[in-house]
Amino acid sequence: MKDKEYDVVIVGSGISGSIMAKTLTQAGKSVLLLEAGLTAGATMKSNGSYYNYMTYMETFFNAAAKVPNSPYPNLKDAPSIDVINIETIPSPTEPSTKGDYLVQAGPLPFGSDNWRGPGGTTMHWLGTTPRMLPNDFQMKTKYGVGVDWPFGYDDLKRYYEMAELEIGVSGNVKEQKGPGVTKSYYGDYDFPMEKIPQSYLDQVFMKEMKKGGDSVVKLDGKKYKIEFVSTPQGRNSIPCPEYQYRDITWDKRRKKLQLVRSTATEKYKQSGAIWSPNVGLRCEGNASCVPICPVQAKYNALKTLRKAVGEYLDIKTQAVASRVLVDKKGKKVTGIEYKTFDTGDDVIYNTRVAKGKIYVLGASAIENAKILLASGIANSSDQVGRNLMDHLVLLTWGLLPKKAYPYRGPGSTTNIPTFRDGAFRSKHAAWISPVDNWGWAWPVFSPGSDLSDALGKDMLGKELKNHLNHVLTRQLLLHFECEQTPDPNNRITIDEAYKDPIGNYRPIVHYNTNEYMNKSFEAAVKVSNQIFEEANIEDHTSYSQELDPDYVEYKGKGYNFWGAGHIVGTHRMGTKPSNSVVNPDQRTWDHDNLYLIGCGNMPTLGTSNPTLTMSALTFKAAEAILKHLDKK
Amino acid sequence: MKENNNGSEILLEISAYLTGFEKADLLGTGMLDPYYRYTIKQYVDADDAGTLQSFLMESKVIVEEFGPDEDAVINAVKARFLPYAKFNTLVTQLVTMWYTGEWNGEVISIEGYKQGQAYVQGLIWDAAETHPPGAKQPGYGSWAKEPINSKGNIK
Repeated sequence: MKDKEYDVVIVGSGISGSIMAKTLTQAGKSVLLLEAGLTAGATMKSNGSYYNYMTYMETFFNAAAKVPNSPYPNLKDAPSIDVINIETIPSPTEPSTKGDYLVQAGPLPFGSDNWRGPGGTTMHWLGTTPRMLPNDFQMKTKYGVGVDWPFGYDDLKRYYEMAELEIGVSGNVKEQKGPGVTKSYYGDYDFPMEKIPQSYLDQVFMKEMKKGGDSVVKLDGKKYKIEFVSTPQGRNSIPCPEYQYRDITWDKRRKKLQLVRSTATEKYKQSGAIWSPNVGLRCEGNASCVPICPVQAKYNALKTLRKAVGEYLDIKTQAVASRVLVDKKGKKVTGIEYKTFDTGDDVIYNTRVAKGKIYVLGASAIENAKILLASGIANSSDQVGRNLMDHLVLLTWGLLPKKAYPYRGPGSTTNIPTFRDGAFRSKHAAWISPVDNWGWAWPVFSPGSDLSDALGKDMLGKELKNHLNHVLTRQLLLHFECEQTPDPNNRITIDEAYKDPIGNYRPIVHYNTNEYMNKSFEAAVKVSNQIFEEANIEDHTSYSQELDPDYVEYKGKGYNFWGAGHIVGTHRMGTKPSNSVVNPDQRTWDHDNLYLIGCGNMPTLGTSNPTLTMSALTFKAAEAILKHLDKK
Repeated sequence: MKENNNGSEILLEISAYLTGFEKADLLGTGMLDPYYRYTIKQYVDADDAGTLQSFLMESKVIVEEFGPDEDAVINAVKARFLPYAKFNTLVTQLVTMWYTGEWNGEVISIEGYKQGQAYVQGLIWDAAETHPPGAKQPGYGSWAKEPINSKGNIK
């Protein structure tokens, strides 16, 4: 295997790498997939994958802090960033190194994490899949903020449809509304599956809001109608009879990826668990999507990887890509150097080189940037590692006047799209507001904290039980997921002083907010206050440095924000080599046979959870690579 | 009523009062025996078995004196245990154990029992009229309705 030259070498088996591997092998191209994580996690055999997944479940049950990475192995040889390590940065000269991987230089700690292992971060993602809005692609032109994308929404539309098929999106097109959502936005289209039912909590909240007819809030003298929308999500429900497609295929003659239409006999079928095609065909209401769906009704990238054509695919696990090698002229990529180990905490490793015609990095926004910086390539624009973005999630929480029974169902089933777009975007960030189904768990660690608070007040017996019932059944949490704009100083760097046990760099993150973000926190709290007042919600929101180290003060008021896990923008796509790392095909400007995939390519973030858009972009990149290979 | 000198019986009896759940609810978790053994081990390991023994003996007295009047038992617990740091801690730990399956912030793990059961059997989810995330799943679409057997919004 060592000497074999593949058509394509891909780094990473997360959603971008898996979509790439599946699409290329189905078109008959030979692929080597390098994955840093453990072999056990990549097995597609029923018994092995079931056994392995149950060890994830057991680890999750036993974890004291059930954070996104809690079920999954954290290897010394391929460590993962973990939100459990987030702390206040000690000083400008002393970064936080807690957790022995991500080095946080500040001034504010970066609030999100990912997982380095088979299936990548889709193992713990929530699964929310709204598309970006047309104006999100033209932030510079429309609002004078950030940059424009090198193409528009309409250019990405057919790839969005591919991504929705691949992920298996449940949703109701007709219910989608809000700024920017016109008739042509989805067009004459249905999602693969019917919408995930909106929670009882959503219904109680919406009813409280609509008591006086339309709900209107005021912001900066303008009125906005608050709307509620069922959220499209990558979670199995019931196949929609009207859905038109069942597969994606490479049309060699037209040199295009095409959606394959359903016929009377061949229809769309949702993907079940890796270990059994009959498990996980519908969400079962485990209410643990983040960090783990016990039945794999929620999409994860292993489902896509399983569809890759085995005879054309070699998967090399426990193989950490460390450098991309280039020829003497520095133009052509000649190989990917990777390090292999026998056990995840071994300090002994072997260095090898993978060879292909084309190379694709899909190792996550942070790892891709790190590998490129370590290789000293693809950076004539000086944009590698820069423009790191996330949604800055301001949370507000309170008690509903009635029992709404949170802690049930998927993490969120309804969102408020009202502030996803508008003229205000020239002054402050837009946001989407998911209604959270899981009580106050995120900001204050409910329900455990409610119990310890009550015990601290000497509540016992029926008084304790009734108190918990009274509080826990009425908790409402609202998100204001604010769009961070690209800032060259929010970036990933590397330094000889920080390396992991097998000599690979540890990423260093430099991170801050700015006026544009802080102003959106101020605006979001103003909106939240009006919503809470209208719905008779007793506000319990309280921000402080102690609550969460991502704390900023703006115009005399303090705000906390949390990371959304939407790690975006470290190798941006653009119109020319001077302003970007990759071109619209997601090929590096500097190296003809090197492509980058994943959220790192996104020039701006919009207010959508980025996975769907990134998956659409990956189909676009796969199409470009197939064209590229067929030219030779 | 027959004389009760069995430690785990006493633990069950007093735990029902402390948690506000019925004895049947506690037994239904399947955790009485492992929790009893776990609690003993914590106190023996800390060389403080006397505290646990005194607590159980005094609990027996309280239950016999004031049971089945729940308020009276709780008032006695508050008067006789909570003012003393050691007993206050023990009461908090016992209630937390039943509610969350945790002891000093860690999920209880007992040899010979399925890993993670302490978390899965936490009663706090029952108090919230739901189920532990990741277990005892109520089925497709259940979250769109009031919970089964819910008492609803009765004032």
